[in-house]
Amino acid sequence: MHKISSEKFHKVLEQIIKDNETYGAVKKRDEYIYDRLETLSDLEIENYVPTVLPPKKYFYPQEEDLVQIDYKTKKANRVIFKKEIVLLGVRPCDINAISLFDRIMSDGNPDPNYLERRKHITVIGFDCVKSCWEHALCEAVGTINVKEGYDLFFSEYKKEYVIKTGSKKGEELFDRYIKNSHKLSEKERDDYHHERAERIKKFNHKVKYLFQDVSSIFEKHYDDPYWKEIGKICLMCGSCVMVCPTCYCFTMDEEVDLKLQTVTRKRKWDGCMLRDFAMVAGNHNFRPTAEMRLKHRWNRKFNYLLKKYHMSNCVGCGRCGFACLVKINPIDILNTIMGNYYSGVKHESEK
Amino acid sequence: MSQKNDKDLYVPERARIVETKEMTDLEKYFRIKLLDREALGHAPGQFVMVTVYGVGEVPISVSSPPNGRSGEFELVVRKAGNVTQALHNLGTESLVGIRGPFGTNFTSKGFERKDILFIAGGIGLVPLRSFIKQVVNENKKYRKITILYGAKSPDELLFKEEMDQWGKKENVEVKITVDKGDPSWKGNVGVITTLIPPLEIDIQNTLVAVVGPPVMYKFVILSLASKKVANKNIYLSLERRMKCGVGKCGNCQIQGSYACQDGPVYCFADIEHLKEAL
Amino acid sequence: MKPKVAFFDFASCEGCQLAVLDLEEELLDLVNIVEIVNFREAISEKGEDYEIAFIEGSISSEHQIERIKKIRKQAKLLITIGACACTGNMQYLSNFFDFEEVKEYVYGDKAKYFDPVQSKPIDQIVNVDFQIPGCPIDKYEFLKVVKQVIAGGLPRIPNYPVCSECKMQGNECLLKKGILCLGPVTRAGCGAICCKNFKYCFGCRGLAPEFNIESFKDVLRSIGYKEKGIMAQFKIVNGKDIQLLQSGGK
Ligand SMILES: Cc1cc2nc3c(=O)[nH]c(=O)nc-3n(C[C@H](O)[C@H](O)[C@H](O)COP(=O)(O)OP(=O)(O)OC[C@H]3O[C@@H](n4cnc5c(N)ncnc54)[C@H](O)[C@@H]3O)c2cc1C
Ligand code: SF4
Ligand code: SF4
Ligand code: SF4
Ligand code: SF4
Ligand code: SF4
Ligand code: FES
Repeated sequence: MHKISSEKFHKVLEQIIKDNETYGAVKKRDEYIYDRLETLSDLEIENYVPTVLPPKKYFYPQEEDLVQIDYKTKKANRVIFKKEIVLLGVRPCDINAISLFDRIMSDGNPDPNYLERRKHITVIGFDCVKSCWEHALCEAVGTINVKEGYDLFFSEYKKEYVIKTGSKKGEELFDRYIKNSHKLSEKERDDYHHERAERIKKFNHKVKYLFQDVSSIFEKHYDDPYWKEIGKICLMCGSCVMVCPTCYCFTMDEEVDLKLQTVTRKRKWDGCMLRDFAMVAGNHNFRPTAEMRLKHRWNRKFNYLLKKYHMSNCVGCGRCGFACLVKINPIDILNTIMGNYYSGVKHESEK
Repeated sequence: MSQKNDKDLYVPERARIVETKEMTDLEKYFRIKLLDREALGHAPGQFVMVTVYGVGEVPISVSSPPNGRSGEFELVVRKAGNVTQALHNLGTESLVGIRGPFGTNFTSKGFERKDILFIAGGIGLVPLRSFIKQVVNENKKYRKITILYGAKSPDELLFKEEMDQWGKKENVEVKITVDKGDPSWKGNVGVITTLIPPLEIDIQNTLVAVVGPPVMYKFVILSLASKKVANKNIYLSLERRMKCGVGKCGNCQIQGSYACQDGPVYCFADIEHLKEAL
Repeated sequence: MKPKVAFFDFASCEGCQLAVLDLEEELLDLVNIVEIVNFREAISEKGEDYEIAFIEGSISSEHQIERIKKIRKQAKLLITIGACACTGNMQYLSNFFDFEEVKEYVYGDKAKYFDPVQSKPIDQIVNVDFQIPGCPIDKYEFLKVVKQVIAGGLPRIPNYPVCSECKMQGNECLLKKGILCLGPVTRAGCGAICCKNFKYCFGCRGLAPEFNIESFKDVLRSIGYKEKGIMAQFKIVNGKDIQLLQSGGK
C-alpha cells in the first residue's frame, strides 16, 4: 500500500483522463450518470451519489449483438463488441457488483461476450468516506469493502490518498502513473484501517439485523406476508431491475437486415419484474403476480444467488429504492422480513 | 455434453430438415441432421435450442432415442406462437439452427431387471418418447414396462402406431385414455390419473417417469403418493421459458434452480420443497 | 416472391405515413423486400391483391366502416399503425359526450350531408392482427415489424412499461420531480423518447398489457394530482381503455 498527496492524486487522474477514453460520474440535471470525461472537472468526486445507471452498461450493454448469420448459407459467427476504456471513480458497491458479474459470467458456461469485453475495461475505484444517500446499505451487506473487481483503488486518508492495486493491470498503471509515492509503514497501515473502520461506523446503518443469517431467514419466511403487502403496490414497471448493478437477466431476439443478407442475434436487458419473463406459450405465466416476482427478485439477491456465489447479490447501492415510485426498497425488505422472523410473525404456510 | 466450444455459446449450428410429417392440426414432426457435425450426442429428456433464422430460438426436446439413425434426430413441435409457427412453415431441405443438447436427462440406471412406469400427458409424450424408446428397444433388460398416455381427444393422440407396436412386446403394457371420446373411440375415457389406481406397483422396484403439462403433475404426484411410491423414484421434466439454455439468462429459474441446467429432468425428491416447481 | 403491401388512411393527421416516408434510404431497401401496391388513396383499394394492410387513422363515418370491412376481407394481415387506429387517440374523446351535441358542434346544421359515427379505433370495427402504437409511430419499430413478418415470424414489440426503457436510457425520472408522467402504465417501444427530452410521457403508445392503475393513481395523488387531472391526462390518448377500466372491464 502506498499513498500520494491530494494534489498528486488530482494530477494523476488528470493524466489518466488525458491518455485514455475515460468514463466517470458526471452531473446531468439533478442526478449523476456515467459519461465520457474530457477533463477532471467533469468528474464528481466529493458529492458522489449513485448514478442513474451503474457502470454495468459498459460491461454488459443494454442491447448487444451476439451472433451474425449469413442469411443465404446460414453460416454463423459470434460477434463481440469491445473497446479499450477506463472507468474512473467506481465506488465500492459497484466494484463488488463487477466482481460478482465476473464470477457469474465465468461460472458454468462462460459468457464469451462479457469476458472478452471485460478484459478491455480498466476499473479505477474510489472509496467512500461517507454514506452517499439514505437509500444505501453497503455497510450492512458488506460491500463497502473491496477485495477484487478493480485494478486501482484510491481511498482518502488524512487528506491524502492511499492506493491499492487489485490486478496485474493495476500494477502496470501504478508504475506508469504513480511515481514517487510513499509506501505505508506497518503502523500507518494499521492506522489507516482503523480510521477507515471508524468512518464506516458513521454510515447509514439502517438495516437493524445482522445480515449473515439472511438466506436462511428468507428461506424460512418464503411466504412472509410482506411480499403480498408490497405486491399490492408494485407497478411492475421494471425500474428496479434496470438500475440494478447486479441484475443480469436478459432476453434474446433476432432480426434480419433489409437487404436480406444478415441475421443478427441480439440480447437485451430483461428482468423478473416484467410480465413476459416467466411466460410460456399459451399465455401461462409461472409468476403472474407482482408478489411472486418481488419474492423471486429479492430471494435471488439475498438467498438463491447469495448461496451460490457466497456474497450478497444486492451490493447495497440503493438505486432501486430510489428509482421505485412506490418506495419498495431493500432496507425495508430486510428489516421487515428479518423483523417478522425474529418477532415470530407467522407466515402463510405456518398459519 | 454441451457445445464443442465455449466461445460459441450462443452460436447455432446448421442443421437440415430431412423429413417432416403433419401429425395433428397442431403438431408437426421433423427429422433433422446436423450439417457440420456427426451426431447430436444427446441423452433422453435433453433438449435443443432450435433457431428459425430471423425469427427466433425455442427449446424443443429431442424425441428420438440416443444412437438414432446416423446423426439424425427427431423433434415434434406444437404450433404455439412466433417461432413454432414459423417452424411449421418450413419443409424438407430447409436449414434450421441447433444449439445443444442441454439439460439433465432420464436414466434407467439402477433399474435393470426392475419395473419402469411412464406417464405422459398430451404433448408430454414427445420428450418422454426418447426415454420410452430407449427402454422398450431393450425391453429384455427390464421386468415390467408400463406406459400410460392421456390426451384431450382421440384426434390429439400422437405416435398411435408406435404405441401399438410397443404394446405388442411381451413385457410392455400400454394404456391410453382420452379426456373426451368421439363416436369411433373404443378405449378409456377420463383423465390420466384414472389409469393409476388400478395399477399394481412394486414401489421398491419401480422407476416412474412423468411428463405433461403443469396442471397434470400435481394430480399425478398425488395419485402416486397414495400408492406410496417414494419421491426419489419419481422423475419429471419441467417446462419453463428459456432464452439461453446455458444457465445465464435467468428466464428458466425455479427459485434457486435453473431448469435449463439443473433440469428439465428432475428427481421429485430434489424439488418437492420448491414451492415454485409444481 | 415479395409480399404485397398496402397503406390506407382514415381519420388521422397522416403523421404515421409521413414517419414511414421519412425512412428515406431504408424505404428504398424496403421496396426490395415488399411490393407496395397502395399508398394513401392513390390507387383505389378495390380489386387490389395486397396481403398486408397497414391502417392509419380512426373510423368516423359509415363510409369508412364499409371501406375498412372491405380491406379486412382482402388482407391476410391487418396491422394498425399509430394511436388513432390503435386506441382511437384524441378523436375518441367524442365518446365521452352526447353524440348529437358533438355532431351539432362539429357540423352545425350540415350534419345531414355527412354520415358521421362516434369515432372508433379500428379494432372496434374489424379484427386487427397486430398494432404498432404511437403518436406518431416510431419508424424503426415499423421497420422492425415488417422485417419480422418477412422473416416468417409474428410481429413482436415490448410488452413492458415505458419506465423500463426510460431507465435503460439512464434518464432522470420526471415523476420524481412532480411531473405527471404516464410511463409506468404505458407500453414501451419508443425508447422513452419524450422523457429523454425532459417531456412527460402522455401515453401515446397505449396502456401496457399489464399495469397497476390503482397504485399508480395513489402515487400521483401523493404528489398532489387530483382524480380529474389524472383522468384528463389518460383520456388524451387512452380514452377507450379508461372507459373500459371504469366500467369494470379490462
Ligand atoms: C425443456 C423444454 C422442452 C420443450 N420441448 C418441446 C417439444 O418437444 N415440443 C414442443 O412443441 N414444445 C416444446 N417446448 C415448448 C416450446 O419451447 C414453446 O412452445 C415455444 O418456446 C413457444 O415459442 P414461440 O415463439 O412459438 O411462442 P411465443 O408464445 O411467441 O413465445 C414467445 C417466447 O416465449 C418463450 N416461450 C414461450 N413459451 C415457452 C415455453 N413453453 N417454454 C420455453 N419458452 C417459451 C420463447 O422463448 C419464445 O421466444 C419445450 C419447452 C421447454 C422449456
Ligand atoms: S421499481 Fe418498484 S414498482 Fe417498479 S417493478 Fe420495481 S418494485 Fe415494482
Ligand atoms: S437490489 Fe437495489 S440496492 Fe441492491 S444492488 Fe440492486 S439496485 Fe442496488
Ligand atoms: S452505496 Fe456505499 S459504496 Fe456505494 S456509493 Fe454509496 S456509500 Fe459508496
Ligand atoms: S420519467 Fe416517466 S417513464 Fe421515466 S421512469 Fe419516470 S415515470 Fe417512468
Ligand atoms: S414516451 Fe410516452 S408519449 Fe412519448 S413516445 Fe413514448 S409512449 Fe408516446
Ligand atoms: S434458459 Fe437461460 S438460464 Fe436457463
